[in-house]
Amino acid sequence: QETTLRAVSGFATGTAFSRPYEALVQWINENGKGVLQIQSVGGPESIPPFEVGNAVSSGVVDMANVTAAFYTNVLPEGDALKLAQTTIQQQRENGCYEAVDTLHQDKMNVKYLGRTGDGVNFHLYLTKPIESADLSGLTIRTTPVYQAMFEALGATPVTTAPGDVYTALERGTIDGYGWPIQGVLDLGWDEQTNYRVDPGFYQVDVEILVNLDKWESLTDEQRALLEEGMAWLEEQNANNAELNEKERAAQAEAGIETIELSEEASATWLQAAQDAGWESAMAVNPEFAETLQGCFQE
Amino acid sequence: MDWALTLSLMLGALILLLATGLPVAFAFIAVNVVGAYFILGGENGLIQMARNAFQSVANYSLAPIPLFILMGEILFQSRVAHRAIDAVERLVTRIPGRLAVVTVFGGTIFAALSGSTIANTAMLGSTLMPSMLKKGYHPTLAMGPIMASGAIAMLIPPSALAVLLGSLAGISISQILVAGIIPALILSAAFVVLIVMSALMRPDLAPSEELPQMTMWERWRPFCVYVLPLSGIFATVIGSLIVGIASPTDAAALGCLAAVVASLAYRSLTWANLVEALMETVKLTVMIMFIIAASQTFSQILSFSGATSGLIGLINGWELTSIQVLIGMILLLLFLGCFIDQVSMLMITIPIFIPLANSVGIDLLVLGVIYLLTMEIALLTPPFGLLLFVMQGVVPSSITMKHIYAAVTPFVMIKLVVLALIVAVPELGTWLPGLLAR
Amino acid sequence: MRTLARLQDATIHAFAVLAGIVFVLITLVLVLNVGLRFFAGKNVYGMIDAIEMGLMAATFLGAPWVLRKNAHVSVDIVLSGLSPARRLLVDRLTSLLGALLSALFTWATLSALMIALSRGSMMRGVLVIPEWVPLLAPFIGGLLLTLEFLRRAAVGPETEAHQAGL
Ligand code: NA
Ligand code: NA
Repeated sequence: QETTLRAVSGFATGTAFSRPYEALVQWINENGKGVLQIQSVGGPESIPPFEVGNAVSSGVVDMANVTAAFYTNVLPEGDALKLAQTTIQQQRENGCYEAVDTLHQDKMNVKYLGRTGDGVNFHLYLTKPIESADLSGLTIRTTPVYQAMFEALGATPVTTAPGDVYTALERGTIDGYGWPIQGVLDLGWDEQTNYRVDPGFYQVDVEILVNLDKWESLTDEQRALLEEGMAWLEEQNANNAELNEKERAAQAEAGIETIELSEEASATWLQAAQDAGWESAMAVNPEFAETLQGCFQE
Repeated sequence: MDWALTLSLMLGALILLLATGLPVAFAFIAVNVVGAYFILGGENGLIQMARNAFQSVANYSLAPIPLFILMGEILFQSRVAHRAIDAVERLVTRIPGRLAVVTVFGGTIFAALSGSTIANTAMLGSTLMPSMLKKGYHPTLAMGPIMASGAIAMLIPPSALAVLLGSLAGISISQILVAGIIPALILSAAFVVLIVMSALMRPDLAPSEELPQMTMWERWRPFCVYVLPLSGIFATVIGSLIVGIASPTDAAALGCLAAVVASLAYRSLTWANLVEALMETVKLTVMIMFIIAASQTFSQILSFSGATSGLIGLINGWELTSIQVLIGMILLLLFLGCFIDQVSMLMITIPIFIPLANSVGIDLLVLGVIYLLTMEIALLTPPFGLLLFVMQGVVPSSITMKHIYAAVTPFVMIKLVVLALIVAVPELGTWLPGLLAR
Repeated sequence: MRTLARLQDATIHAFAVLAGIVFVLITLVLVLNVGLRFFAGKNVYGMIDAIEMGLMAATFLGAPWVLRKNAHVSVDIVLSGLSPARRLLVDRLTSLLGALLSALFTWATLSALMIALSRGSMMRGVLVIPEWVPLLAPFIGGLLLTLEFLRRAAVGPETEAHQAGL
């Protein structure tokens, strides 16, 4: 008997981190006729982004497309998922996937179906140039994802509502912000951005979650279909390299110059990211952090 | 459930509940409770509704709302604003319908200092209404300008409703704040023309007065003392927004500070009127923010149920031009504005209008200006017009609601003409904010 | 009974004053932040998180007092055609409905609060706050709204409708 899952996305329809999810919905609805269908109820206009984790956990929706940074209130360990330096395929081989899945099931009542965003890194975007991996004197709009790292590099962190970032950049209230390589142009912030600092750091993690009670109520065939669809979607992660290149070109077109840090500065930069990230992860749940350290690094 | 059925049930129930006189916020909660139970799903749906309500007001971009209201209240309660109006009155001489013209000038000036149309109308009503009646002005010519220029406080920053609109619609708050200035000035100018023409054609409406002989300095001194220094407050708020050195939130906080400094400098600030200003701010702000908390879930449930996308799909199927859609929106807003308050107007229509505007290609800033003007008109259209009620509270009981309607009608006509002008020439709204964005 | 009524009055009023204090603090911290940024290039740590919680708390804790002052905007055009006795009857009925809705809202926030407490959920912005703490505001506000609507259903509105709006 055909079942329909209600799904919601933490990102607006048509934007960079919603597109993979939309592709999955389409794939399932094409390949799952008579077995399983997904009805997408939309993005942040239906459920506020920071409530998506709660909604899939309690069963208000059956399925969600959301980054772990949006549901750290439910699962603080989720913050560590950005530290992965391996692909999801490797994580499925080496046991990392299972550890993350188990944690999601136990603490959040959701099945961790898989993740997209492999190979998409975060970058620092600036209105004024820097020479080295030193951010002192700069006020940077942060989210909890990279707050610890930017602070460690000397920046003054501020939180700015997404709607205010544009004007804050224009007026010099902030000197920059962190964001993935993809999506800056979606937001229109490129008009007020002059530089992007390379290399990128961390790795975008956008999870597909299924409410656990719902998951357990599905037939083997339905679950297999979802897993097959997810495996297909995760294969598409390989296209991210190409998408990143396009995005770089588009940013250059929009007048964003690349600041390429020296080899030495790059090392400091990336080390700060890793140190700050793992330190936070250890503080939240040492046992889980150690497990991840064993399988997130190549 | 079919989306059309969901939509009609939710809107129908809301209108029915509003008609019972249940406070607007609770009418929304009633519909949400039922919607959350059946659409979001049972008890968990209700808990999610409560969490969404909590999240919707924990929103930094709403912070200017209490601050804009507070700065106007401080100037109002400390009577700094009243003295400014008196000073303006001395300067305006030898013009037909003199005091009515003063009302427009004073209302426009205070609009740049206050975020609340109610405070603006109450102030004009309590200062100029008695003197106009005493001097033999016909109540119609006395009341019309008070209500019409009281409403301008919404268009000129500081404006709490513009902040709410920007935050809900995802339009830059700085830009929407600045966008109302030119339409407001056009309105003021048109009001003056209307008053002068009525006074010339019907001299019985506004008797000419013998003004006491005054020297130049006697005329200008109060203006220099009580009005010019207030331009500091004006510069702090509007200036910093236009020049771009402060965010709306910073501008609002500095505006409050400037209002306190001004009323201290005039030795007008007492503990009692400061507390009064603060509690009035609590009353208005909480009223608005509670409606936001109650009604944001309404739009989330509409979207969740597929009603929003269903309706937009339907309208897109008609293949209307963007101007036709815009006119449809305006008519609906004007109609709703006859029956409900401004915050509810926003809350009911924004979840549908913003995605619709995006899908047919209407500039959101233009739509924002349209919202401001239609909400401003709604303050004055019967049967439910907030400023009509405020006016009723200020005038002697011999003046009936019918007189009030008659007084405001010509001004509402002017506002409709300016609304049409904005549709024809949207640059009147978008040119000034365009300078901000470069 | 008298004492209880007086306690209710005092509580409602105290939370309204608290909401006023929150708005004053928001103004002051924003001015301080502008100054710090201008002169020292610094920002008040965690300011935005704190302001968001303050706005939220003021909204829910101030709502019962606004109800007491009859200042929650309502559309009374249909009612104004009724006789005073009928109006009072309708007001009592809508007050009972209001009490029921407030009670449901209170129950839902209490459930959210208990879940947050048992999970140990934390809100992680620049500031890290246990989630159940801010959830106290809508819970307390909802509870007081329920009581106020019940009082109103029993004894009628305290004052004439006060038109509030912008
Ligand atoms: Na204003
Ligand atoms: Na109206």
